[in-house]
Amino acid sequence: MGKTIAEKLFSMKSGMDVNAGSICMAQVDFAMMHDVNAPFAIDAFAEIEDGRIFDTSKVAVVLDHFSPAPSYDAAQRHKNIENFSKQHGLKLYGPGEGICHQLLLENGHVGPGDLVAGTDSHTCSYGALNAFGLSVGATEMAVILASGVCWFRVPESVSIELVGALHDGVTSKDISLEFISKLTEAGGVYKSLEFHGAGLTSLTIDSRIVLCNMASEVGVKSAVMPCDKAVNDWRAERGMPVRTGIEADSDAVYSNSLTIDLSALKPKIALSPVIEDVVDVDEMAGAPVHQVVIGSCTNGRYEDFEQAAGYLRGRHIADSVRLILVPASRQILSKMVQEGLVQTFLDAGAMILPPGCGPCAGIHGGLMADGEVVLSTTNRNVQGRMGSKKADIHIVSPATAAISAVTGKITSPI
Amino acid sequence: MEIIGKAHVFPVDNLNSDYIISGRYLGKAKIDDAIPHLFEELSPGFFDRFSPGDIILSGWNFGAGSTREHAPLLLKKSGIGAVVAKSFSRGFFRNGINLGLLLVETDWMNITDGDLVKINMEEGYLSIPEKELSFKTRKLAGIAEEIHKSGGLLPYFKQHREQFKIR
Repeated sequence: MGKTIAEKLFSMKSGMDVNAGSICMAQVDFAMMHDVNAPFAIDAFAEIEDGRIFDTSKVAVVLDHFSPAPSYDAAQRHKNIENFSKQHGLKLYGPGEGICHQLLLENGHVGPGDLVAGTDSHTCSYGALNAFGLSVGATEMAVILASGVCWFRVPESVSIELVGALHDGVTSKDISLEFISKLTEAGGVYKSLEFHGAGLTSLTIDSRIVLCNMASEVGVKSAVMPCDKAVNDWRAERGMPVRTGIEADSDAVYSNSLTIDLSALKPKIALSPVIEDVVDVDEMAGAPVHQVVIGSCTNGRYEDFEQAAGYLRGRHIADSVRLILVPASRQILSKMVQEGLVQTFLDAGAMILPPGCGPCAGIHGGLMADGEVVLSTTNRNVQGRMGSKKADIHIVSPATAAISAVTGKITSPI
Repeated sequence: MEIIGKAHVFPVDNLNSDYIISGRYLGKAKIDDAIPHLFEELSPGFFDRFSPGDIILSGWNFGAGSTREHAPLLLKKSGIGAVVAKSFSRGFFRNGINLGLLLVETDWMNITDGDLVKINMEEGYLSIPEKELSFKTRKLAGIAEEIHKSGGLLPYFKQHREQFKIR
């Protein structure tokens, strides 16, 4: 019987022949913790006698959710995490460097065939580079820091085949909202999404990251894509070595499958407060918007801002709207400066926050008041996620977000 | 071991960890300060009605979304007797087991706020004696049960460190 990418990966990392449903101990190739869960992981690590980091070159610590520190408590939290990182010789990305997932991808910490553990539910983003990203909790992270190993259940896999090509103005975010509405919020629990198809080949790495990232919203253990030419070209451009990665067998067994025809998709919107409540943007056209957020680990990459700039160049946002941009990393912001996007955005009336998580997790950087509506390119729209629980959060693509900022109303980019 | 506690019912599926504890409380320097804000978004005043030993019941995919360990940790620190759901999200399940929180999976129905819930994991049932209701609870799989019996992942790791190696 053939194996899925997940089954092959866990067989390699556990040194045993495992299949979906097996429970195994597996070697972690890279571990990441960020400033939400790190304090607990540090406390738990302190309880382990003779606790030494399994391999300091395989760990990164990122200050992204509370960056720059919005309060005394957050500043102190950062100081404690910084001290731990220094004491143990761990790579620390400080405030303003960017969001953990983008930093791990663009700095080559994760690559094809890797098993990566991170204390964040969007760790599945690494699947775009054929790496298997698993979200873990803080206590698990402490054990991984000490041993490099954790227990895992090998997941069943869902096959998602992409066919056809996207129309202009339709993005991979719209594809992700389509599969979320089809699979539902619990449709991926304990499973791995495995993407295939000619439609996938046509997507850039930036676009692919969006699909793996949003897999988190159907409850997955992980999401993964093949290691094709685009993956190695992307890595080569950044001076990273070519890898073969892990391929699924042609007779691999999937728990269920879904085919999405990209050419049939229109821009989508996930309505507050349920992520699987997805309709075409057209159905909501004309509804008022008070704030637009473009950024996050989902849609804060250069491609997203380039696309948004296409709708904002030479225009100004509506008087009734606040437009907040949050690049996912300093590298991305730097390219935005070089390519003149920053000037375009400032002329259009946008605010640009330092690279990091921004308002996505409701901590700081553009929270909402009662009765307001935010169109956001982030990933979650539950009540209270971004400030007031009486604010509506609708999730959209950067294209829909940008054009709607100009009109002040929900507007389809096509 | 048998536990008995008063029911607090959240009759919804996909109860998000943002609803267990909102992002606005993640930055508290003293984690205990966040406990009174549990379930604040869904059920204002929840903590005033809650007493240690009480039991929460909810639907499918409890704890969806963020893997913030604050969610199970605050529930544990609140003194909760058990969290009962038709199923758990992967992140909440792992974190809960790793912290030694009692997580009970069962297809419960007709339970309402204030009912006295009796749980016996060894015998595998959850019951409401007053309503003559009884439901079978699902057994924890393999290592999850061992971790739970050890009281969480840290004690388990300390006792079984040799298992955390790849040969």
